[in-house]
Amino acid sequence: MIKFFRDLFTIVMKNFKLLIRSKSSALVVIFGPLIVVLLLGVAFNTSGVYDINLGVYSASYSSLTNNLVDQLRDDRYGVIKYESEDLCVNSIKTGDSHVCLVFPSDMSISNEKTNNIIFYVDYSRVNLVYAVMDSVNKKLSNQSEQLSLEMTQVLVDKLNEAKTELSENGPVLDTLVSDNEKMSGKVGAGYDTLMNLQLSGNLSDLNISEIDEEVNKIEADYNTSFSDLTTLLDEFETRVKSIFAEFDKVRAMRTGLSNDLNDVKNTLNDNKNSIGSVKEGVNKIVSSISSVGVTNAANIVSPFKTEIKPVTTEKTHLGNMFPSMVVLVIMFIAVLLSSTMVIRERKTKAYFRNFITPTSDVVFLIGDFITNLLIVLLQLGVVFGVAAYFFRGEIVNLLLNTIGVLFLVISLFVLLGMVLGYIFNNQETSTLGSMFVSSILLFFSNTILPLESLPSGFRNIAMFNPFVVSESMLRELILFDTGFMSIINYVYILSGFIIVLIGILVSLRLIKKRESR
Amino acid sequence: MGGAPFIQVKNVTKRFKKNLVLDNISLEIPYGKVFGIIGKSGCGKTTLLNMIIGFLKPTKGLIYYQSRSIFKDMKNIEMTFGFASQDLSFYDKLTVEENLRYFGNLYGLRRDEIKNRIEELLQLVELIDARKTISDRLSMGMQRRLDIACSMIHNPKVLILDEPTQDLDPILRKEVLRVIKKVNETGTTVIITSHLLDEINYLCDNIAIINDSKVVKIESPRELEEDYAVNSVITIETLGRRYDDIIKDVKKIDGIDYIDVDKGRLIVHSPKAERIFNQVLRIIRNKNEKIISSYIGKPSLDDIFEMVVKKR
Repeated sequence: MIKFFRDLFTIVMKNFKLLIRSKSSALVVIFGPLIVVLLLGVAFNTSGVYDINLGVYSASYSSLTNNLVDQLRDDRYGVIKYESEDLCVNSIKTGDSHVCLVFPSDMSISNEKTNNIIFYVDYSRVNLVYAVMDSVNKKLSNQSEQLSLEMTQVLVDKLNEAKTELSENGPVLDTLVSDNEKMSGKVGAGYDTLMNLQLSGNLSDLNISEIDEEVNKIEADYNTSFSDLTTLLDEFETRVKSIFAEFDKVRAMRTGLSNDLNDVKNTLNDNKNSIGSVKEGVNKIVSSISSVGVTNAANIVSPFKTEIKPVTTEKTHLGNMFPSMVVLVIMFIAVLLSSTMVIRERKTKAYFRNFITPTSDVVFLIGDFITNLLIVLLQLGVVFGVAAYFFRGEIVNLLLNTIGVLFLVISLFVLLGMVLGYIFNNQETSTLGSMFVSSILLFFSNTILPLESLPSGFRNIAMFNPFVVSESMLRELILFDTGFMSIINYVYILSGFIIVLIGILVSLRLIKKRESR
Repeated sequence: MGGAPFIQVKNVTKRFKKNLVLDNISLEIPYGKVFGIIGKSGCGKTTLLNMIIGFLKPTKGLIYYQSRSIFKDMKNIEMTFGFASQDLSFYDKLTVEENLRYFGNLYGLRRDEIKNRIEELLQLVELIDARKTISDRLSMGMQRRLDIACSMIHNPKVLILDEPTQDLDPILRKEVLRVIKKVNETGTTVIITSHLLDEINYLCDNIAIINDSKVVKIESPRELEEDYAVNSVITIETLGRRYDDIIKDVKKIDGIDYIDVDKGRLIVHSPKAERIFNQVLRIIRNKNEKIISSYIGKPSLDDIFEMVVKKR
């Protein structure tokens, strides 16, 4: 057992010495990936998209269009105005612009116009297109929402004003009804008073003839003449007659007046009813306006506020990409490094001498495996160093949570690289083969296009892609912080792959040993 | 070490699919000697060495080390035999000392054993001043000596060298041969293949000649020379070099053992060389060939080898 570990140590140390002393290998194998990882870290440490040019065109720029263009022209977007729609579209083809926006001529908000803004995009740059479209659309939507909000606020304000006005005029209507009723009462009372006026009389009731007879009798008795009295009586009679005649006129007038008063009363009654109806209407309107539950213009314009909350707390692409990036780095470094190391060992002069020493093939395989494992872990240290900057205190937890899985993932890709190193017979084909296999694994993963976009047959196979399995495991552990048990099936799959690869590796080693004799 | 042979190859046949490389060969290698194996390129010398170290298994036959089949005791064979293949076999980017320490570890030597052995070997192969030098910066001769040292790190009883002087210039070759001689003087049995017969002659106590998949001779160089000393060699070079036509007539002369063309010269072996010399010259002149040089001499080991393997 001591010899086993001493042999392993000897082989691993020898591998490291060879790696470090071969300047090109050291550069490519150790520093190359570190630089790539650091660049990736810096490059994707943002949630935005930088250095994007937007081509815009409008046959006639209104103040609204200019306002929108100004909104788009911030520190992340360059806005280029084109002379024609064709030039704008062509600018995408030539790469001068990433998206072309065509605004309608004289864009304005009115009842007659619908403002369609056309997006021209290059779907061959699928990732960029969605990022830019999303961002530009968001900006335009914000502006559109702002306009809607302003207009709706005006409507709401007017409605509130009407409601206030109507509410304020309610008592006036009440006063009107009350006054109307009073007037109607007074008119009725007047009418009654008028109708109760005694405007008729009988001359006979005045007994003027009896007064005459008495006067005559007195004159006869006293033989005196009361001619003046008689005259006065005659005048009195005449005047009474005249008064009676006037009474007739007044009666006629009263009849007319009473009719008018009746009409006024009726009208007042009608008015009262009408005012009642108006009041009822006003009350209904006020009640209706009052019953409008939502009077906040912002809520009317956007009754649904959508807020996209990530299921994770990450704020940058790097955070979201971290599991994919980790697997990507592990895969490319492990596969390329392992295949390179194996092929270099096979091509080394000492390959034959290793075979004839009393050291088991398995020890050499384990030695190479450990060397690769350590180098990949070193590289991964850099990745986690980058991650430490973003995850801060969580890095320790992150490492503790993922260390077992990372070991499994690294082992898988190191073994895959070693298998490729034994399959191919020279450095060039081995590197090509490693790149080919890694690329296939990458293409059939969620990193470039979602697996859901693949035909179901392919998808079912791709679900077992070691890259996909590894990425899924790390995503669940790093982003969703689910427990180990939730990824147990993935662990079984990777373990299965590892066992198969170990079998293939040992077989290949023995085959190559036989071939070298 | 008397009695049973130290190493015995017994009725060994080796085929690679349908290709018969060695056909029922047998030979015995004595302890403490330098045993040379010569033969044309591709005659199976390296295959035979690979079988002796147990790296290849014979299709038929057995190989014994101290009367025990090597395949029954591979661990012992690995620790007892050292092997330096035609190609150098060490790590270019390790120093001389690191290479020796690496292989010492793989052979399971203790740390102090490795240290002592490195010192001994560096002295033996005369690389003491180059111990810290990265191996690919050594001269070819030094690299070959390092390769031999790597083969001997575990202090093997048998050192097997496959064409150890290949690609070396005469000066470097001498260095290597001197080292091999020193190795043998330490009591190590050396089995060596070479196509350079003068070095075999210089080093070997016994020589096996392999031709047409068979061992055709096993003798000491001296015995071999004595066997063929009865012959003299006529060497003639003509301007036109139309030797095929000449050979047809020369073959008709009585008493010719062997006739061939080598390096643009006509070679004729015969015990009656002095007597037939004029006849050969006459045939050449009759063919209107202008003779540039002609002489009679005793055969070298090269001539003997050619005679053995090309005899017709």
